[in-house]
Amino acid sequence: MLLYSLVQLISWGTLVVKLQPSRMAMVMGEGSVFLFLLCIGAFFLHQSIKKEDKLREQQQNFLLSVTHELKSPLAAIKLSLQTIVKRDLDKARQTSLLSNSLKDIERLDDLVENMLLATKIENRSYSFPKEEFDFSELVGKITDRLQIHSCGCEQVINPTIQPNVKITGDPFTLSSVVTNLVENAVKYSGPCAEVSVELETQDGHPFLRVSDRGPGIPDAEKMLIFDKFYRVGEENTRKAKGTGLGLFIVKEVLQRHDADISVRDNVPQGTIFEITFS
Amino acid sequence: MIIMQQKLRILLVEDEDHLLDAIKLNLELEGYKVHAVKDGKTALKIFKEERFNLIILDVMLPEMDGFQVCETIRLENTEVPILFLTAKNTSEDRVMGLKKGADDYLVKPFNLEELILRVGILVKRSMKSDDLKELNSYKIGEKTIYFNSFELKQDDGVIVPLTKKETMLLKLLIERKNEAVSREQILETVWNYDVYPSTRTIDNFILTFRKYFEPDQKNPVYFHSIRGVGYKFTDIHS
Repeated sequence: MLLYSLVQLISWGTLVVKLQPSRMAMVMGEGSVFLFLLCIGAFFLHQSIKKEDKLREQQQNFLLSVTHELKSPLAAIKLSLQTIVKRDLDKARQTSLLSNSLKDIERLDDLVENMLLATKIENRSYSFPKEEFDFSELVGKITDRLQIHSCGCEQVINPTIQPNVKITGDPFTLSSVVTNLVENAVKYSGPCAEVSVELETQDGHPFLRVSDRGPGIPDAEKMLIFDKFYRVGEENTRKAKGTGLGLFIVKEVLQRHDADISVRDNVPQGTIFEITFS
Repeated sequence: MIIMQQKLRILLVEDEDHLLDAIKLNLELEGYKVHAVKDGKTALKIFKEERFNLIILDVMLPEMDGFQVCETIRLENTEVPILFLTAKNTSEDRVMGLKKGADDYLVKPFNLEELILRVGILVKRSMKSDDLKELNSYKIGEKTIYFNSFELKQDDGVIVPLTKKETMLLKLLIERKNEAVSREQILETVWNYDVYPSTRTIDNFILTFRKYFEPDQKNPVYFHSIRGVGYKFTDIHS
């Protein structure tokens, strides 16, 4: 198409110059402007196609990860229950299969919750009902809950929570923000590595820091991780599972609360997420 | 048959803990010996060290995906049955899995009964192919080994008795001629892990074989030691 326009431009230009050689300068000038505009158009077209391709690829990855995230716990629950029905198992084995299934159901519930919340945020159909509440209590509850699931051998989440940090916001979505950040930190850290969660007031503003000792995030990807569906690495060979919705929700919810989030490297390795509420 | 003397072995590769536990439990209750691993690279490492009657592979795995693992296994072993167990359910995925060399493809969430039946069929197939390869005798130069009667007929017609372990080790090396057989595979097949002989013990067996078959024991042409790996049998006559 571009080539066709270019050929047309040149042939018409040549024709006009042949008929009226005195108008050579005008033809050249107008031709250059036209060529310039054509180039700008082509550049934006190319950018937009590239963006579209990237989005399509991310959506494809999202589909792939959701398939995995939905079907794996479902398969485990189905197999565990069928095993209990088919086999004559002792009490301890039955309990272990059932408690694994309950954890899988919670995992599915979290996934569905995230998908619904992301959709509501995008549709702008969620109103973020705000009220004043005790943020320290909320963060404490979440770290306690995730502590139980994160590791069997020792405590890995190390919370340092200043009591009575009050905040005006939507407790439901803010609890999703904290859950997503702490869950990510646990997921990307090695088994029994320490994840620290600190809540305090800095210059009168609530400040939350979640640090992990995972592999860290490359600098080039630090700004991209908050994009919807974006995930670090290849979908088929990824160590940690997820859908690419968690940090998108975090960013959107914090924007609605006028809060800032920043991400930086931990020392010697890992990532630190910091949220400052205004 | 050597294989009947031990439990049928399955390599299970799955990164979801709960699913891995439940599949392992069921296969063990069915009488299989299961070696379970959680990523593609470890799976390949274990596959190189041990022998299996079946490999059950997930596709989405850390480090190296299941398709790559299957492809790599098929480069050196075309016989061991491979069953893909995956959440990827499109027909393109199935075709891809089968193209990479899998024997069967089961989509998550699956039925326990169906998994057990498919595993049974695949394992039986692997044993049939082992049956076909069943050797009764083998000739090395002018000497003949009779595996059923544990005997070696020398070129002068004299019959030398072989021990059971000697016969089993000879059979294992001959069945896999021109391939390096690792010490672990030898221990597992011949000693069945019930006694752990030292490396020296296997060396002594190889020395005995060289005494029986090699024209020049210092420069063996049939029984070779491969440093850091194990042993290899090559037949210069075939």
